[in-house]
Amino acid sequence: MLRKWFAQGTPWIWLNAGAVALSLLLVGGLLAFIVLQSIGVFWPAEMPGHIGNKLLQYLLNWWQFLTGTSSEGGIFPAILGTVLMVLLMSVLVTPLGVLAAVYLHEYAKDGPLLKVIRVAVHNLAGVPSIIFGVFGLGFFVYFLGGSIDSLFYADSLPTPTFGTPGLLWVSLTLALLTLPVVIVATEQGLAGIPKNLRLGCFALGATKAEVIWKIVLPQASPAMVTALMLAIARAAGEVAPLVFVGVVKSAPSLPVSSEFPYLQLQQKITSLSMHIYDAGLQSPDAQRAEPLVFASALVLITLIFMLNLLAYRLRKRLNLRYRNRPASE
Amino acid sequence: MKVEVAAKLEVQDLSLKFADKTVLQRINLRIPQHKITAFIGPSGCGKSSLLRSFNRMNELLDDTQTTGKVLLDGQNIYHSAVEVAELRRRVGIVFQKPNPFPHSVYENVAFGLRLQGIKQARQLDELVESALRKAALWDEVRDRLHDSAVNLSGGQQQRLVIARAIAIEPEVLLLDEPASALDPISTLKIEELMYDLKQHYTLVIVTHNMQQAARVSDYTAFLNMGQLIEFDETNKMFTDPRERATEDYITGRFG
Repeated sequence: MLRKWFAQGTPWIWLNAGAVALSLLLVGGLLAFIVLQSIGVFWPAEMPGHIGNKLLQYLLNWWQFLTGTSSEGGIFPAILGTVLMVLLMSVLVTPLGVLAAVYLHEYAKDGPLLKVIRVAVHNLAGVPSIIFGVFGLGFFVYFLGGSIDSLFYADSLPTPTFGTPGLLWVSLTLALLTLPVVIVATEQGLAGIPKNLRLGCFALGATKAEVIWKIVLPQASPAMVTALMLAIARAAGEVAPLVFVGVVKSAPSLPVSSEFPYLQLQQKITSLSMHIYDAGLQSPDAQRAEPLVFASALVLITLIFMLNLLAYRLRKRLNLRYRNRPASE
Repeated sequence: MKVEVAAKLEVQDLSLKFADKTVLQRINLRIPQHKITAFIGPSGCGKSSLLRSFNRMNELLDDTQTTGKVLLDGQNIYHSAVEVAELRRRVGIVFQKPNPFPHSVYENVAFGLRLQGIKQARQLDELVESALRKAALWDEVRDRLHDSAVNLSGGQQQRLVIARAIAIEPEVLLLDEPASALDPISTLKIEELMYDLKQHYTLVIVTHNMQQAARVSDYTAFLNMGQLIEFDETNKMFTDPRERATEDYITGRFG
C-alpha cells in the first residue's frame, strides 16, 4: 500500500507542494509582520476626539514621516537618496551591460577565451558586495576622484571635491555590483530570439549591425527590463559596500539644487537601507526607534514594489509592441 | 547539356564543407535567366546548401567552408570585394518555415525598403502595395495592413515573406521548399505566384515534391550525396532521364 503510494510519485508532489507552501508562508509572513508592525506606528491613540480627526492626524503623521528632513524625524532624504542612486546606477549599468551582452552573444567567437570570460562574469555576481565597496573607495574615490580634483578643482585643494565619497561613486559602485546581473539576463534574452528571424533579416540585405539594431535589440528589450529590475532590487537593499563610497547616516544637505546642474554628484547621501540599519542598531532610544525602523522598511518595500510594477507594465508594452506576444512567458 | 537562354547564375567547381563534412562536391551548373529551376534530390543531398550558396547564406552558419565560384551576371559573388548585404539585396531567399517579423503586415514588407533608406511615406505605401499585389496577397490583407503579421495563416505568412523578399526588387529569388509546410490550396497559390513571378525574376526552388517540380519548373537539377547527377529541361528529365539514378528517384524506387 505504502510502496504503491510511493511508486505513483504522489509523495513527491506533496513534498514539492509543501516546499512551495512553506516559501509562501515565510515570504507572506515577513510582509505581514512588517505591515502589522508599521501600520499602527503613527496612529494617534492618545489623541482625544472623533475617529475622523484621528484618521486625519494619522495620515498627516505619515506625510510628515515621508517628507520631513532627518532633524524632523522624517525620511525624505533617505527616499530621495535611494531613488537618485538607483536611477543613476540604471543609467550607467544598462548601456554598459547591454553592450557587453551583445558583444559576448553576437560578436565574440566561441572558444576557450569566451568561456573564461563568461565564467568570470558569472563569478563576478558571486563576489561579496563589501569587496565592491573597498574597490570603489580605492579606485573610484581615491584614484578617479583624486585625479579629477587635481585636474579640475586644483584651486580648492586640499579640500577634496570629487576625491571624497559621494553620490557619483555610490552609483558607479552599484553599477559595477549589478553589471553581471544585467549581462547574464540580457544574454539570456538574446539567446531566446528565434534564429529564423535573424536569417530573415539577413536575407533582406541587412548588415550584422542592422540585424542587431532592428531585430535583435527590440526583441530583447523585455529581457533588458527584467535585467534592470533585478539590478535595482539588489541595489536598493545594499548598505555595507556603500558606506565606503558615500552613503552616510545623515547627509549634511540634499544632493539636489535649484541651479544648474541640479544634481550635486559629489554630495554624500543617505539611503533607506542605511536609515533602517542606523535607526535600528545605532539609535540611543531603541524603544522609540523600533517602530520607525518597521515604517522605513515598509517604505522601502513599497518603493521596490512600485518600481517592479512599473517594469512589469513596461515589459508588457514592449512585448506587445515588438513581439506581438502577451507578457506571460 | 545545353542551355540556350542566357545564364543568370553560373556555378563553377563549387564545393562546400560543413565542419569537415563535405556537403557539396565540385558542382557545375548554369541557372537560366527568367526561368524556374528546381533542385530535387533525397534529404541531405545538399540541394538546400547549394541554394543558400547563391546568396552566401551558408556563411551565417558556423564552420562552413566554400571553394569554387558562383557567377552572378559574370561576377564571382565569392570575390573578397563583394559586399554580402548588397548581394543579398540582388538575390533574395524564402525559407521553408514562414518567418514574418513580429511586426505589422505593412512593416514586414516595408522592412527591406527601409533598410535601403526609403523613408517617404507615400513611396513606401506604393511599393508595399505593389509587392503585396505581386505576391497575390493584397486582396486578403488590404484591410488589415496594420495588424500583426503573426496572426495571418501559414499560407498567407509565406506569401507575405515572398512579398517582403520581392519588395526590394531582387534579380534572383531563391525558394527553399516554400510550400512544404502548407496545405494544398496554399501550395497551389504559391505555385501560381511563382509562375507570375518568372516574368520578372529568375527563380530557383528546392522541393521534395516531384509533381511540384514537374508542374512549375522549366529546368530541373537532380542532386545526390552532394553531387549534381543530372541537369536538364524539366520535360526531358521527367520523361526521358539520362541517368539511371534520376529515373529511380523520380519514379520513387529510391530516395
